[in-house]
Amino acid sequence: MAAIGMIEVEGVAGIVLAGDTACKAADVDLMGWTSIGGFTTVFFSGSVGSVTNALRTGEQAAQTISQHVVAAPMTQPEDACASYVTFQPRTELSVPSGALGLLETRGYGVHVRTNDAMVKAAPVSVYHVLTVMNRVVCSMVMGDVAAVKEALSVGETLASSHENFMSATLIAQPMPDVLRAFGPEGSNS
Amino acid sequence: MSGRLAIGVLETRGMASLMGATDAMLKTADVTICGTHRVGSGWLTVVVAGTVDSVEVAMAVGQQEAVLRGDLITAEVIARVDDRAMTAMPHGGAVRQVDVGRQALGLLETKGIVPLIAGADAMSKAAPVDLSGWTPIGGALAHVVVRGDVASVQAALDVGQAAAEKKGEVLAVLELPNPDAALGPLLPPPVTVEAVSAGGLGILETTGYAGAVGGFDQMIKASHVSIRRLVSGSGGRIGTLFVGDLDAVDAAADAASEGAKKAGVFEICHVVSRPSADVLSCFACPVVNSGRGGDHQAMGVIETRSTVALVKAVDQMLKAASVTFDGGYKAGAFLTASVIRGDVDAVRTALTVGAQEAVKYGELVSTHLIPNPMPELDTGLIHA
Repeated sequence: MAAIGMIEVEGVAGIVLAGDTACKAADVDLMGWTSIGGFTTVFFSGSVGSVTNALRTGEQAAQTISQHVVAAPMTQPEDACASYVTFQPRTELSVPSGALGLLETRGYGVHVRTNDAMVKAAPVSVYHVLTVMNRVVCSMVMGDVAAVKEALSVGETLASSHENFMSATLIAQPMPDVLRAFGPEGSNS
Repeated sequence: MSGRLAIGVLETRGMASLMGATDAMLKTADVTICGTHRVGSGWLTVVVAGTVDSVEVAMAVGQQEAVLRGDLITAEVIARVDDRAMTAMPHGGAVRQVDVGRQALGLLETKGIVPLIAGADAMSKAAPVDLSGWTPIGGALAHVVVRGDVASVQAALDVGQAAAEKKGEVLAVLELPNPDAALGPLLPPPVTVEAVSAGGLGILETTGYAGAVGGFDQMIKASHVSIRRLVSGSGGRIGTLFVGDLDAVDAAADAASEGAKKAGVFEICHVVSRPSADVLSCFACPVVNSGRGGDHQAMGVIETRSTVALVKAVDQMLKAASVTFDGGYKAGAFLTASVIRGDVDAVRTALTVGAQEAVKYGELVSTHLIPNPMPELDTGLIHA
């Protein structure tokens, strides 16, 4: 079995960003992610050298928006380690193109308001709303870069007036596997 | 939902708060429930739709009601909702339609499973009410709903609240003499299993899986009781429910408490004598056989508050000794456990190695070794 890298954060936006960054930094495949109620972990695999590079870059990316970032490599993982991955990217799935905006808060109610405001503010669509329990909710909107940027700034302005605001992040060119694993059709193994 | 409609969004901590507010909203103005969503820790959302005026009037009343029985998290009115935003929102999924009926409704909401069941048992004995179901909503919060005539529900709630407070925290009680017919999406799913009688019902409540496994192991060794089921109260809480003769259940409860304390985080253990048939069918429906072997191999449980710590630990355990991976269980509140099997010495070695590895990456909650598990343990446990 190839080497595995794992990055764990509080919330879920941090591992979307970390997984995307890691897959761009080195030749690794996104295995998927799991949640234990508020803490989520992203898994990717590749050669030892690739995983080491991807892990470092992914960890740094996660630290820009998340608390409690833990990263660890496994150079020769046992088969059982793969069973901890709950949501995997379904490779046959076609995904929309465009930039991805992430808006993460505690609580759901504020997302109804902010998603409504975001689609009115710019030509973006709501790709998915992730609920990872322990109150964490992350809305994912997509459109061209400028549109997502504008929508996110409107959403962040609204959401950050709440004490439960966590983070807002733009990924200009998300990896298709990231959209597959974290999207509405992410397979629940 | 039409694009011209307004919607109101109300998010609370606790079901008594949400149900009381929603009932008031439905009665105050011409609004309908178009979705619900829960995000853990007891946070619940209801979305109502109607004309702008109706939604604004309803939401004003709903906010006032919500703060009476819990915390108000969010209250928003969106005057002209954009359908494009709503199609991907999870609250719009299948809205459960439970028949509301015409009887009065009582709701008891507690922190913890033991106070909930103690309260439910007291309610069903105090007055002619039916237990119509219960739901855990995260953060160790759970509620049970009773139905009956107004006077019976009121009497039951008084007694139930007092009984629950003796065993833990009561978050709120709610009495709806005339619940709105459209309140169905907020009601617990109806109980479908038939009642089985028992002299005693024991409830062991732990935080985390390791404590539940340790308590389960000791109770079946100490006394002749049968496990009904393990229930997740979320917020990390697991209730292990067992029945038998009252004496046997009493003896098992003592052993279970000791076992749970050694293995993990013990919360409380409580014995209900002569539990009502309603309580048994509502909470203690028979266990689903896990189909696991009962191969008499020793069992090791390791529990952490980090996936990275657990995966690293299990990886090292499998390398360090001749043990096999038997599955895992997530209890909520960041708790995640895994189970390994093998010879006693191998499992002991593996647990030591795993504990050392886990603490490098996150919080280790507990490790526990069961040298000689009984077959009932294998068939009753819920890790996969």
